[in-house]
Amino acid sequence: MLWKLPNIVVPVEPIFGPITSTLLLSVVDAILIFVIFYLFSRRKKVLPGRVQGALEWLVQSMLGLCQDVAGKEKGRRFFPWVFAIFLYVLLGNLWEIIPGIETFGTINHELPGCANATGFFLADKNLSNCITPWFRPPSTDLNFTLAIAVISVVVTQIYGWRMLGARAQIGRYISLREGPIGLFVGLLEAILELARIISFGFRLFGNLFAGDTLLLVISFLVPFVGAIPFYFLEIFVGFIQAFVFAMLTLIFLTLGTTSHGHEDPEEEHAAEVQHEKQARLEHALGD
Amino acid sequence: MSMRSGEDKPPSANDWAGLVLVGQLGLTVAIPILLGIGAGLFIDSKLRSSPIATLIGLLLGLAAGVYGAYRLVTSLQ
Repeated sequence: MLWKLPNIVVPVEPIFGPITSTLLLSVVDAILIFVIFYLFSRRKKVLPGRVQGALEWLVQSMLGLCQDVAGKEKGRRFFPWVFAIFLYVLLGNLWEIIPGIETFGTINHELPGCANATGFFLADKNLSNCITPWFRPPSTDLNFTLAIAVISVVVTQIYGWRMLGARAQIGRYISLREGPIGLFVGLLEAILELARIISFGFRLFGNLFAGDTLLLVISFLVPFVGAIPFYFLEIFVGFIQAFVFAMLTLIFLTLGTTSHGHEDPEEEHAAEVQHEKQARLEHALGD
Repeated sequence: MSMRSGEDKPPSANDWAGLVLVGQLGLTVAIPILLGIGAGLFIDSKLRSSPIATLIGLLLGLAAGVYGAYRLVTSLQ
């Protein structure tokens, strides 16, 4: 055995005052995104270089996705939120694929067997689990994922309020028009909003914390080579989870800003027939 | 939203949206139930009315889960 199993904890420990290891990296994330896109937008060239080309592709494909799902005008309005969440979560996820990122830290003397541990680099294999890491991927902290989930749900509410109006937005949760059934459905809607925060937050946290722990444990079981395939898996998982988070935000933004009127099948059918007639008329005129 | 794509067409944005929503389906059913039970247990422990609030919470959560799943699936069309 080369090293001891790392000390795996769910809650993050503060490293300096109230600052935790995940908070540190999430701030670094935000600065990184800002700097990359500031530099990119300041020195635009007509013929894009490699970095500019990659960033332009990323922005364009994400914008295209937003407009496909939410429609042209709405997609453009939602795009900044969706793209920011995507990038922030993606960077937050991908910290874990830097090998050995959680081996830098201060020595925690309170852990069992670590009372006499000293040294900046722990060469002694018996003391290798005494570290409280300075850097931990932000997405392995429930505070980070729940915070973004809350932002996502609150933004949905604000857009619903602004695009549908206050009456329609409150009527979603308290509706007296359809009698007791309407009231009950409104209550269910409110429960679902709350459940969405939890499902968003815990999905990301669960996936990333599991991945992070997996990498640590595999590195402990089969040092150096054992974790290599799992690093590829984690790149994949990190990307997929960021995409899922952004996509779900986009879908719920779209659903949250669509009025209940579209649920009336007769009305929808009438609109469809009208649209078809119009198209046929235009076609005939064109000929 | 259309879920069907042609044989030779690459998946469209709406296909991705459908895929992501299907992944959300399980949690949409499960979490309201847990939320309802949790809230019910909390109320029961405060009011000492066990198991009435827990049962009401369970049923409310169940209803919310089924309703949420229905809303998600109909939003795909």
